[in-house]
Amino acid sequence: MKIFAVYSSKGGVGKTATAVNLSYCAARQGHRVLLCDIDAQGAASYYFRVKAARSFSGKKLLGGGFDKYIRASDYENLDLLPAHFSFRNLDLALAKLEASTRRRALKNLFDSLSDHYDVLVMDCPPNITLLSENIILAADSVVTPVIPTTLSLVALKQLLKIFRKVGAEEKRINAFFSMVEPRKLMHKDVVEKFQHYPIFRDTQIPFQAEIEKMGIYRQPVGAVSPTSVAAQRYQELWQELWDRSELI
Amino acid sequence: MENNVSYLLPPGYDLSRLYQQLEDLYLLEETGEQQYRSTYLDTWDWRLVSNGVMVERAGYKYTFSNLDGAILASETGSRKPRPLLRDFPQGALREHLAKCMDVRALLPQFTVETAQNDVALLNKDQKTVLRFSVIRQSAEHGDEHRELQPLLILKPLRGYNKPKKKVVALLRAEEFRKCGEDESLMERLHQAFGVDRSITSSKFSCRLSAEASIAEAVQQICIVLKEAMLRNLSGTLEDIDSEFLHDFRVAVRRTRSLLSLLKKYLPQGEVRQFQEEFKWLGTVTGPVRDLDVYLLMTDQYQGMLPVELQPGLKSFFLTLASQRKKDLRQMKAALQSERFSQLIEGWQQFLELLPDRDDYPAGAANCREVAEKIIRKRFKRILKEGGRITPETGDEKLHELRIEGKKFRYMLEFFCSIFAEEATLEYLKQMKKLQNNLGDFNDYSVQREVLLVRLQQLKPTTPDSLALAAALGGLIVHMGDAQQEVRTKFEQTFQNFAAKKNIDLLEQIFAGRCEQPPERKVD
Repeated sequence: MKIFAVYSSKGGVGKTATAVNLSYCAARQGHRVLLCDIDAQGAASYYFRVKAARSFSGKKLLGGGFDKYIRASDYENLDLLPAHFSFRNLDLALAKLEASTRRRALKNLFDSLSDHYDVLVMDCPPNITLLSENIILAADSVVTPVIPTTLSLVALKQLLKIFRKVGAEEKRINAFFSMVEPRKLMHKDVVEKFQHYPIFRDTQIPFQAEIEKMGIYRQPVGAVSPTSVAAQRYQELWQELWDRSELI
Repeated sequence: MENNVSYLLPPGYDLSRLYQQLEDLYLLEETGEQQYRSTYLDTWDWRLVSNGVMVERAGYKYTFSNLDGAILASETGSRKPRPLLRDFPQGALREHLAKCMDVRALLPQFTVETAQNDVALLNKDQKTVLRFSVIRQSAEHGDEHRELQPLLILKPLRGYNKPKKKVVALLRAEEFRKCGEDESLMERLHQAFGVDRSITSSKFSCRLSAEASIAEAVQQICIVLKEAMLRNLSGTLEDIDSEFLHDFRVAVRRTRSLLSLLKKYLPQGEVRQFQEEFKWLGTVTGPVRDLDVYLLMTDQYQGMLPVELQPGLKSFFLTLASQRKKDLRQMKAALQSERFSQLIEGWQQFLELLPDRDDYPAGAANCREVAEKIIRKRFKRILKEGGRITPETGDEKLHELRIEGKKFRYMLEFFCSIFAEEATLEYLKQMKKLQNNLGDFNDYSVQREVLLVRLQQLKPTTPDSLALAAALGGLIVHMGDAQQEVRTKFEQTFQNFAAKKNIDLLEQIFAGRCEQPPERKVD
C-alpha cells in the first residue's frame, strides 16, 4: 500500500480538491483506494456526501478501531474514512501517547490496512503540529499544492524545515503548482522561477471553474466532466505521482 | 469490499411492487441498462462443471472462472469452434483447462441472453447507500430454449449496514429466496434443461435385481451398452474428440465380452451372428483408435527423446495424421452403412424378446448364481495363470493375463449392483493396479512393435528419413527400457493382487447380497 498525504500548512491551496480528485483517478485506474479525511472540517467527506457516525472519534481513530467507520463512496474501488469533528483534537490525543509510539502512531495505524487497499490518500489539516510530523513520517509521498504566490512558497519552506527536523527524505516531497492563472504576472514569474526545482512535478493544476463547482456537485471533476481540462490535469498529476512513487 | 448476495424472484413477481416500497424509503436511481449474450463451454461429459469451474467464450476471448463467478484466467485462445487442450497457447488459461478437460473438446453448451438493470438507492444527501441489479435471462441448449427465473443481485456498500438490513427484510417479506451455494448460473442452467450428467459419463452403471433371470440381466446390461454406443456415435462421426470413439469401442468390447462369457446361457446360433457383427464393429473402428493413441502421445513421445532427435519425429506424426484422415473416412462409411444400422436394429429386437423366449431354458437361470459362478471361475483362472508367470515367461502370457483380467473386471462391473457394492468397488480399485501394470506392459509392447515395423519399412536415403530413423530408434530403446521396468514390477503387483485379503474381499462381495437367494427356476 502506498500512502499519499496531501499536505500544506497554508489553507486554501486546493488540498481537498487534490485529495478527492487524486483518489478518484487512482480508483479509476483499478487501485483499491482509501481516502482518509483527517481534516476536522470534513470537506472531503462533504464532497463524497459521506457523514461520519456519531460514535466515531479521534480517540477511536488512534486506538485502531476505525475499520467499521470506513464507508464506500459512490465510485468503484474508492472508500472513505470520514472526518469527525473531534479530529480537531488529534494533536492532543497524539501528545498523550507514549513517547516511543507518538511520532509513528499514524504509520502503525495504517499498516493494518495494507491488505485491503493499494493506495491510501490523506487529506490533511493546514497546521504545523505533532500531527504534521506524524503525517510526514507515515507518508510515502507528501503531495503539496503550491499556489504561485510568495505566501505559498513560505509554506513550502516550512514543510522542508519539518522534513529536516524529523529526518525524512526530501525526495518524498512532491510539490506542484495549483490554482495557476497564467494571465497573472506574478503566477507566471513564480512558476518560471521554481518549476525546474526537483521538488516540483511537471503537472500544473489551473484555476478552473469546474474545480470550484465541486462544492455544488459534490463529486470529483472526473465524474462530472471527464473531458474537462481540470479532470485531465488531475489524471496527469496522479500518473506522475504514481510513477514516481514506484521509483522510490 | 462487501459481498454481493443473489435472490431469486418469486415466480411471476411484479417488480413494481418492490420499487413502490423502496421509494418510500429511498430515492431510486436507474444507473444502467445492459444486454449481453454469453456462450458457456463444457466438455460433452460436463467435466468443467463437475470440477466446479466454467468457461465463457466471446469470440476468441475465454474467461475461466469458478462457479460463483470469481475469474481465475481471462485470455484469448483457440479460434476453433470446438477446441481441444492442445489448441490453446501456453498460459494460465491452458493450465487451468489442463486440470479438468484432459483429451476432451470444449463444446458450446449454453448460450445465455442477459438483460441487466442496475439501480442505486440514495439517501437524502443523494449519497448511494445500496445498489442492486435485476437480471433476466433466457438460455439455449441445443435446440431447446428456456427462461431462467429472474434474479436480484444485492450489492451492499461498506459502512451502510442499515439500508442493507432494511432491504433484505423487505425482500424476505416479498418472498424473494436467497440463492444457495449450489444455485450458480451453471447449476440453474443444468436444472432448467434437465441435464443429467451421469448419462454422458463413461462409467458403466446398470441396476439389476438379484432375482432376475440371466436373460433379463443380459437384456438390461446390453441395452445400457447399446445406448452408450449410440450416444457416442454422432461425436465419433463428427470427430469432435477421441473420447467418443474410445467410449464407443469400450461399449462394443464390453458387449462382446459379455456375450462370450455367457454364451452358454444365450441362444447360441443368433448370438454367434451378433458376435461376428460386433467383432466387425471392433475391426472397422480399430485403426482410427490405434492412431489416436499415438497422436495423443505426441508430447510424451517428444519428451522421451533428447532434443537433437526430436525434429525427426515430426514427419512420423504427420504421416500418422494423414493416415488417420484416410482411416476416418473408411470408419465413417462403415458406421453410416446399412450393415451397421441393421446390426443395431436387429440387436435391439433380439434384446427386447430375449427374456420371454422359451426356446432356450438356460436363460431362465438366476443371474446372481450365474454371475457368481463365472466370476469365481475367472478369478481362479487369473490366480492360476498369474501364479505361473516367472521372470522367464514370454510376453504373450502377460497379454493373455491382461485379457483375462479385463473379462473378470467387466463381469464385476456388470453385476456390481447385485453383490456387496462397496466391496466390489474396493475390489475393482485393487484390480486396477494389476490392470494398469499389465496395460502399460501391453502398450509399450504394441507401440514398440509398430515403431519397429515402421523403422524396417524406412529407406534412409534422405536427411529427413535418417532423422526419422534416429528418432524411432531412440523411442524403441526408451520403450524397451520402460517395458522392462514395468515387467520387473509385475511380480510384486500380482502378489499384492493375489494376497489373502483380496481373496477375502471377493468372498465379502458374494456374501453381501441383500436378498435371500431366490428359488431356483428352470435349470
